Parts: sequence; C-alpha cells; structure tokens
Amino acid sequence: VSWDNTTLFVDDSEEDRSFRAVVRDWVASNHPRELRHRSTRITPAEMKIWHRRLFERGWVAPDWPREYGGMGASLTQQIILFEEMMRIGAEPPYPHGLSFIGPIIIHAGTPEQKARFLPRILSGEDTWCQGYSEPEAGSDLASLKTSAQLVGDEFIVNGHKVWTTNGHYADWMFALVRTDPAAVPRHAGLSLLLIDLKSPGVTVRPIETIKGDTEFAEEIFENVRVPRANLLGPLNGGWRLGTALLGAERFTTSNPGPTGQLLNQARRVAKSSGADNDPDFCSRLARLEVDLLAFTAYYRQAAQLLAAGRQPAGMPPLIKVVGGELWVSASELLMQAAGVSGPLSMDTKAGDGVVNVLACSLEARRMTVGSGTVEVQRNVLAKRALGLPS
Amino acid sequence: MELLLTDSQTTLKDAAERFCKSRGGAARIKELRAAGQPMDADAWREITEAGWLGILVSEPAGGLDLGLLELLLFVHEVGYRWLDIPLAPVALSAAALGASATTEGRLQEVLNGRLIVVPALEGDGTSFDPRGALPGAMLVGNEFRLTGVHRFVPHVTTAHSLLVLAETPDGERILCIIDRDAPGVVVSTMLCADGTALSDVVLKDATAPAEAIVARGDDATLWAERIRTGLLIAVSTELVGVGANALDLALDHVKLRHQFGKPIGSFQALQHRLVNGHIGLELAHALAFRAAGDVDGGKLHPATVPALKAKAGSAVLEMVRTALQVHGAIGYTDDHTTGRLFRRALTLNARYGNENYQYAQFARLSGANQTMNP
Repeated sequence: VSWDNTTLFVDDSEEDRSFRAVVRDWVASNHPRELRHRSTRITPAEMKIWHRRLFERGWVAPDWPREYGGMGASLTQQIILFEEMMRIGAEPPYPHGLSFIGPIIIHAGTPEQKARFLPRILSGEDTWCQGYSEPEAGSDLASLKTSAQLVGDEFIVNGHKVWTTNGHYADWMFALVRTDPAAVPRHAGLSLLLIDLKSPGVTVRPIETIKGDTEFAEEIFENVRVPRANLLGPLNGGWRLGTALLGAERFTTSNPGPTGQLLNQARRVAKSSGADNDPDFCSRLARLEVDLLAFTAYYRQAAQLLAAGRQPAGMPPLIKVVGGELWVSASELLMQAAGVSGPLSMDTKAGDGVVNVLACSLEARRMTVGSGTVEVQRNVLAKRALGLPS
Repeated sequence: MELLLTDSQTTLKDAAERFCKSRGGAARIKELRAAGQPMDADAWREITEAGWLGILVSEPAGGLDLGLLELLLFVHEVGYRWLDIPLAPVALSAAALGASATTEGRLQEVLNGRLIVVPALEGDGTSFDPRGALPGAMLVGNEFRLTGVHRFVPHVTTAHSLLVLAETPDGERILCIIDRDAPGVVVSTMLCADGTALSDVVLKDATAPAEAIVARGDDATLWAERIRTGLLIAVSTELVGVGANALDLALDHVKLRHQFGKPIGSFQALQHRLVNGHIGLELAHALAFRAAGDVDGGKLHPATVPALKAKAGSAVLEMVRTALQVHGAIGYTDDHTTGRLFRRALTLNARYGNENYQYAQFARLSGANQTMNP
C-alpha cells in the first residue's frame, strides 16, 4: 500500500472529484514551499502567510457559514481540503481561532462579539489560544481554579493557565474560568471568557517541549480586568459551550492521513536501512496498515453519518483514541525502521528524500495526551458507549 | 456504529433481526448438538420460504437481486444471535448457479430448499492458499473426471451437493456441481471446537457431466474468486456478530456482579479492557460493511479482504478473551455461553486462514508499489 493517496477509499462524487482537483492545483501553487514537511514547528508568525492566502481564496474557514465569511462547505469538502493539504505536507492554519472559538462565537456570541472578533479570526490578524488546563486541572478539567469575579462591569481574573499552545504568540485567549466558587456540581460554576492577553496583570512564559520547540506557554493572571462584554454565552454556562467544540473538530485532528504518511516514511526508511528484510518489521507494518485501513473505514462512515445529520454515539472519543494511538504506533515503527540512526538529531535517508525520525517520534507523543488523554477518553466511552457504572 | 441504510435495507435488517432473535441462541445450539443435528433445519426452512437464499440471484432467475451488503445485514445477526446455518455459502453458490445457463434447474432446487449446495474451493493447501493444488479434471468423452482433494471445507455435512473447483491438465479452471454422496466422493469429517464440522473432500474419478458444469475458464476463475471473497467477508462479519454477543454478555455480567461492595464494571481496569473490545468490534464492523459496499460498487481492492479477515479475527479474539476474563470462574465452566462463544470465535477465526495468515496475505497483496486507489 502506498498511503500517498490520503484517500484510501474512493468515495468522491463527480462534484467532489472536481473540487478535489481544483484544491490540489491551488494548494500546490499557493502553499509556501518552506512550510512543507517541516520537522520543526511552524510559528504562528510564519503561518500567517498561508493563513492569508487561504483567507483571500475564501477557504480559510471551510466549516463557517457564508454569512460570517466562511466557505459553508460540506463535511466531505472540508475533509478533501484537509487531505489535499496533508498530501503535500502542508499543515492547515492553527485551529484555535478558526475551528475552536470561532464556531462558538458564531453559535453563542452577541452581535457585537461577532462583529468584533470573527473578521479578525478569518483574516488571521488575531492569533488565539485556548486557556483550559491549569497546573492542578488536567484530565479533571472541571476542578479548575482560575477565578473571575464580577465587580461592576468587569471581571477580575486571578489564576494560572498552562500547556497553552501558542500562548506566547497569542493576542487573545478563550478561557474557562470559575465565576461561581460555590456551585455544585463544580462545572456549573464555570464561564467562557475572552481575554486580551495584552491586558495589564498578564504574565506569559514559554515552555520548551520534549521536541525542543516552544509550542506551549503558561500564563499568570494577577487582578486582570476583563470587560463584562467579553463573557461568551451565559454566566456560569461555560462548560457545555466550551466542551462542545470537541466534536466535529476531531475530524481534522484525528484524520488517518498523517498516520498514513508516517507509514510511507517507515516503508521508505526500511528500504534504505534494510529493515524491510526483517520479518518482525514487516509483520508490525502489516498489522498497523490493517488497523489504519479499518480506522479509515470507520472514519469515512462516521463522516457520512454526520453529513446525513446523525451524531454517532461514542464516535468523537473513539476517533480520538484510535487516531492518536495509531499515530504513535506509526512513529514507533518509523523509529524501529531507522535502527541506529533513528535517535540522531538529524535527517535519515528515506528513499529519494529524508525524514527527521526523532522529530516525528517526539511529535507523536502529544497525540495520546493533548485535548484529553486516551485514558480519559476510554472512561468516557465506558460510560457513554457501554453504559458502565462509575 | 449505525449504518447509513436505505429504507428497504432497514426493513430487511429488521426482518433479519426478528428472525434471528426468535430462532437463534446458545440454548438452541446446545439442543441441536445433543440431537446430533449438524444444522437448524427448521430455521433453514423459514429462510428458504422467505426467499433469502436468492439474495444475490437476479430477479429473472427468481432471486432478490440484492448485494453482498444486504447479505451481511443478515449474516451479522446470524453471528450475533448464533444460528447454525450455511447462509452465505449457499447464497453465494446460488449466485453462481444463477449466472449459468446449464444449471438453471439446480438453482430452482436450491431456491425452493430441496438442494443445499456449498462451495468447495480450498484445494489441498487449506485457507484458500493460492499455492495449494486443486483437484485435477480430465475430460473423458463429454464429462469430466475429478481427482484430488479439497481440505477443511465447512458445511459439507449439511450439504447435498458441492460446488467444486478443479483444474484441467492445461490449466483451465472448471467449476462444477457434484453430489456429496456420488461415487468417487469420500468425505471425512472433523469436529471443531464449537461443535460444527470441517470435512476433507477426497475425489477419485468423481464424474461431472456437461449439465453439472457451472463455469469454465476465466468464468470459473471469476466465480471462484467472487465466492471466496464473499465467504471471507461473510465469515468476518459473522465473527463480528459473535464478538458483539460476547461484549453484551460481558457488559451484563459486570453491571450485575458485585465485589468489594461495588459492581465490578465500575473498575477502570475492566472498563478499559471492555472499551478496547468495543473499539476493535466497531472498526472491524466498519471495515466489513466497507468491503461489502466496495464489492457491490465494483471497486474492491483485493488487499481489503485479508485485511478484514485479519482485523475481524484479532478484534473478536480479543473480545472473547476479555469476556471470559471478566466472567471469572463461571466463564471457565462448560455450560456457560461465554465459553461457547470463545470456542465459536476460535473456530471461525481459523476458518479460511487465521489472523496471522491473513496479515501475511495482506502484506503480499499490498506490495510497496500498489496503491489503494485504482
């Protein structure tokens, strides 16, 4: 199997096929070459060029309705866009504004909030980050402590957010904060607040990751004043709003394409290193490819169900678990294929090209942790899909 | 995960569910085994009367003219509720008979339930191994004489006739129908873990007259391949049904069984094992219906078939192991359904080649230069 075709199964209608062809051509001639197949992290500043081109083409927000400047694309078209970017090693723009908070503002924002925030998310003028995790609130997110006390027309925010992707580049943070310390259950006291990170009292510190880049940051809030107008949705209604975003969004973060790309690299590296003569490697490769094939079948079926207006029960956490674990396994197979040169901090020969095996391997580890560990996702599945007691 | 079905497919699925619910079950299987019955004749009669055996046969030939996907809707329920019937083997044989002018009469006998025909395509290599030798076919006058062996063929004990694949000395494939009890056919039968049987079919100058020839040459190769593909997809789907049954039994048990003052289903170690079982079944189920849809749409990649059998086998084995484990000692007793499902899963997983064999087949068919896109 060559997983170069990120579409393993051909499902495109006539219309989809011509859309795919148009996207393929356009992406090839418009995506900046220096951003393709990058082993180092693309900073939000570097990403702006690509964001801007997509914006000018009208494709930067495929899932947004047209009236808000989006593309109003079908789910199939959204997947095609994503796949065609993956195919040439192009990453889509960062999702925190476009895919996470943008749709929530469209859904729950006031007319003023929509007019103020949406155009600048679309154009890429504002960079956003997501302020959920705290030092003492990770998997148990509802226990978060950052407080926002309503005083007159302002919230006074105090607390500590951490593991914030792009936090040190962001202009704005959408944060889950505690607005009612006495609420029972705990998540009933949380609100979603839009915070200008240039406000006085905000301290941002970047954090270096295992991969050696500074993806994350932490933010300390000391008596930060946030206008009441920046409350998104109802007071103490932040939990439902803030966690709803993790549904259809899984279709891009858990797309099988990138794992297929890793397996391609593993095949190429194995050819160069001789690992393709190792029966254990071949057997592991076959097992992973079969799993990826089955996952792709599931993913496609889920997409069709969603497109038909159904919400398949248990689908989002399942996609997260399987997509994340397959990605990790593929990166481990790549490391195995590279043998002694795998852990070197330099490129390894892979057919006609090269690949940074170590970077792929380190990058992959986040897939089973970020936005909810696979263990927590399994707990959710136990409860929601299997009806098991707590 | 639910399937996106048309209204008529939904009607069909509901009917299959009702039928299998009323006819299937471990208790019924036990009854049949005790009575020495190789299959459920009453259930079979009802299936025949409802016209199910013609599911893949064209309408002019008296069939329902539906696809493999529709057959799978039924087969999954057969696996889930546990019936002992050769539904897919007979439906696939009927499709081949229906496509041939010479065997039209035989087809009608199959459709009205008088004749049970099952395929014997394995050769002497087992597991549909393409390196295995097929029985030889010698033309004598205007009939073929067949000599050779098909090993580990399922459902032979329930069948009246076999759809036999053979090869002439110049390499032409012959697909013909041969009575199981005809002269020159020796069947030796072995009992499987789940109480069903596999048979070695030894042919020695067994005769196939002109009217018994279903297909020759490329046509025979094509039909043998279609039937193999259908059998592999169907047995994978039946396995997924067995796994779904095991999951439901396990869930019922862990919700009721209390230890340390709590239902054992509240313990995370068990929850995660059960979730893994559920995930495996969901993926295998999706791949099975994907494969069937691709067959019906004429766009099946051949590597998808061993991939499915491998995935279904390994996922369902994991599921039945987990089901046994969470049942504790009771699962290890002879009479308990979970143990029976375990033996059923072992049997179906080994049929036509177990998961290791299928992974190797997949690796062979998915060589580095092939792509999944035609």
